[in-house]
Amino acid sequence: MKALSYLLRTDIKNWFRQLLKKPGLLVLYALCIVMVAFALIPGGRETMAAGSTDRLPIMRAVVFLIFGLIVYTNISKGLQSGSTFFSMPDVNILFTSPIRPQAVLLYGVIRQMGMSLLATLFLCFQIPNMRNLLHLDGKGIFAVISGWFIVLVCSQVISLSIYSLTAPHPKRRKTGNYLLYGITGAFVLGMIAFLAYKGGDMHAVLDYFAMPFVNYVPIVGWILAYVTGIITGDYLTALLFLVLLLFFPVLGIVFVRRTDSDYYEDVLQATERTYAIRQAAKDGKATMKNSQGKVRTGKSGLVGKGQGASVFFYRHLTEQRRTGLMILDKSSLIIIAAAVIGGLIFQNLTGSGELEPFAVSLIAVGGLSYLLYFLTISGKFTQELSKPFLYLIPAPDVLKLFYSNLSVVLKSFVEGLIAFGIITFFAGLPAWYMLMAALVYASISLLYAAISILTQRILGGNPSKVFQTLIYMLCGGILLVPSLAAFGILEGVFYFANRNLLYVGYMAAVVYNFGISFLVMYLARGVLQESGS
Amino acid sequence: MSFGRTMYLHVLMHAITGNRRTMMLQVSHLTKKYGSTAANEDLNFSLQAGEIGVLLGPNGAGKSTAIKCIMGLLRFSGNIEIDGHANKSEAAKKIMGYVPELPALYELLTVEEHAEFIIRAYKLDKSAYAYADELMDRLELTDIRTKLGKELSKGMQQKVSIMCALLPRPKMLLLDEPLVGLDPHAIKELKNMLLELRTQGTAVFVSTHMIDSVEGMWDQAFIMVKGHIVAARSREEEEQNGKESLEDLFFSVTEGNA
Repeated sequence: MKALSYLLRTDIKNWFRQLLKKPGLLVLYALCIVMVAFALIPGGRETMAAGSTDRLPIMRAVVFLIFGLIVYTNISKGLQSGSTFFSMPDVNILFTSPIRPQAVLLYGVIRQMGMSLLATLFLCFQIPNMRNLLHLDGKGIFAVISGWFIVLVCSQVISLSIYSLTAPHPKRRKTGNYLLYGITGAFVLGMIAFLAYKGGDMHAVLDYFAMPFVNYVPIVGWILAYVTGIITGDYLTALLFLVLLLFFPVLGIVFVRRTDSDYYEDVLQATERTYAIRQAAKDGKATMKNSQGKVRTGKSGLVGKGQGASVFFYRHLTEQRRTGLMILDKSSLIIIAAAVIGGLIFQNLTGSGELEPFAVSLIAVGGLSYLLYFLTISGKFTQELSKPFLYLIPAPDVLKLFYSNLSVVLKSFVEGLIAFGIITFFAGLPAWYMLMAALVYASISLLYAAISILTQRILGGNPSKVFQTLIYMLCGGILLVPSLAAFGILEGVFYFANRNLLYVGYMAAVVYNFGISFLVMYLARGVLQESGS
Repeated sequence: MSFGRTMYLHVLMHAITGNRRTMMLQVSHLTKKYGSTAANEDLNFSLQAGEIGVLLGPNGAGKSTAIKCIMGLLRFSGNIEIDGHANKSEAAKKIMGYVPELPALYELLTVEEHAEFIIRAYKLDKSAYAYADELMDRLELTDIRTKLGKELSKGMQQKVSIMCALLPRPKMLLLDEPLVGLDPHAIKELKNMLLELRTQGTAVFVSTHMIDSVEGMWDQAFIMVKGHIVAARSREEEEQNGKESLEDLFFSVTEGNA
């Protein structure tokens, strides 16, 4: 244990030393801490409703869905590739040393808890939203944040245990998959049946999550019961569910400990894969995240299509077809799911007269574009930069930049048509809205791509992820403001002057977004002269 | 110590000790399967103390899998013993050293802190600090001893990896493609070190596909193709029979199996 405590101590000590040598990073961390501190201080208006339980049903639905996604992802990973809280040096140095595997496992769990604590910091930025939208007070916020931390740690440990238990036995893995799909399917079917019975509006959805049986859905239900227990002051229930929740990871650790130290193999593959992805990212190369999975080849999408710079576009389409769902991908599913949830909420709010369809249309475009912002931080262009072709093919730089991002625009347009189609249907918006909103959404995706290029141009080389994200967000803020302002003002004017012309605001946003994107790409075209790797 | 002198000492040691050397690595019926695919199929081989064994084979032959099984990183069927101890036991791990195919260091530990960590992990005595200094000197790491793992080039990381493996003075040293990424000086120094270790009675097992890198320093050669050992030769036998070089042997075996 002395060696492991030395390792942890030295790791932390050197991390701080490194931080002191990089004033920029230090300032960034200080800024983050200040922002978290501000988020913790309640504002006057926010505190008025905080502490009431009127939004408890919404909180339960939101917490269940978000925590459920974490739990589902980790368990699914445990049943497939396995997850790891070890690094490659751990495999090469620790696993082969005479340190007891049990001690090594404990070290891994402690380190994972540290990482989860860092991830929890990011949730602190959502504290104002928790106060504002969910009406949570300090106690409620503690419940959600501690629940988040517990769910992160527990689901990782359970994932590792599941992999250890099932990996060597295909039958067990199959059973595990059946159980996971069975429980998830039963929950979803139960909800559909309930909605069919109750009328299918938002209240019915919230009623479903408020039902006591939800507390007994394994892991995610238990954590929800813990959070709800603290908020409602039912501490005994909270404690009981917490004990139930912690029992399984502890059981998992005991099981892994008893498996003749063979968990090394279980984490080896996942560790090697994580290491390869991290190394590639560090070297400025992006890897296709699903390259480990099945890839459909089929016919080539390149035959006879594209010349010069446009070959990038057709190549991306071919890759997209082989790894995604036609032109869509996993991030599209998140957007569509958000549209379905949003559509249900909007249906409820417009139905009760709490919100005008006009407001719904603006919120939907803004909300989904905001979500897209985070889903496209490192898109296909970043992958393209790591390969030599973008630099070598003899075509104008600005065209190469445009075509290497065009598939994203097309994908966003199709994704937008589906997502805004759903919202149009639920909120009873006019049909033109679906098309115009999808166009705005697609044009914004090109603007995000241009911002990525600009970020790369400003930072050059292989910048750290933290700086990259910071500059991306800063540029994004600056370039999006005129678009949002023009859109907002025009929409406001036409709302009062002539509602038949509301689409003009959308058209203005599309023109601005495409125009500014081309301008940014033109000005930042030098990126292809300097950032080759 | 020069290459020739080391070889001379080895031959002398071999003449004195004859066949009384300890069996350091014993692999019996080693089979490793991933689902229905066998990466290693019924491997049987052994290595004595003071011998250098080379595991040769084309890419994808299963060499790294075999090394990982020996190091206790993978589940397998069969039996692997290190100096009479089960390979996954603490006793075996105490006397094993491992240079992995991909060097991966702790990013936030300096070179000397890696040495410190190994000294603690293997519970080595105070003399290990002097040995760490000696190894850093020989591997030209002294000037960068305060550099962090993440600040080192691939070659430098490989050298630190070698230092970590040698520091506990292992009786059984396993190296997986150890020369990849090393500069000519480091290659020469590593070869000298391996020969010295052999003279001191350490069993050295090297997996590589760079045949010329081990030509002239091997005692046992095992050639692997598609998860099987298709040929095993001892240098003594080959020399007595006036047979071909390791390279000729490799190509005659692998191309015959292709």
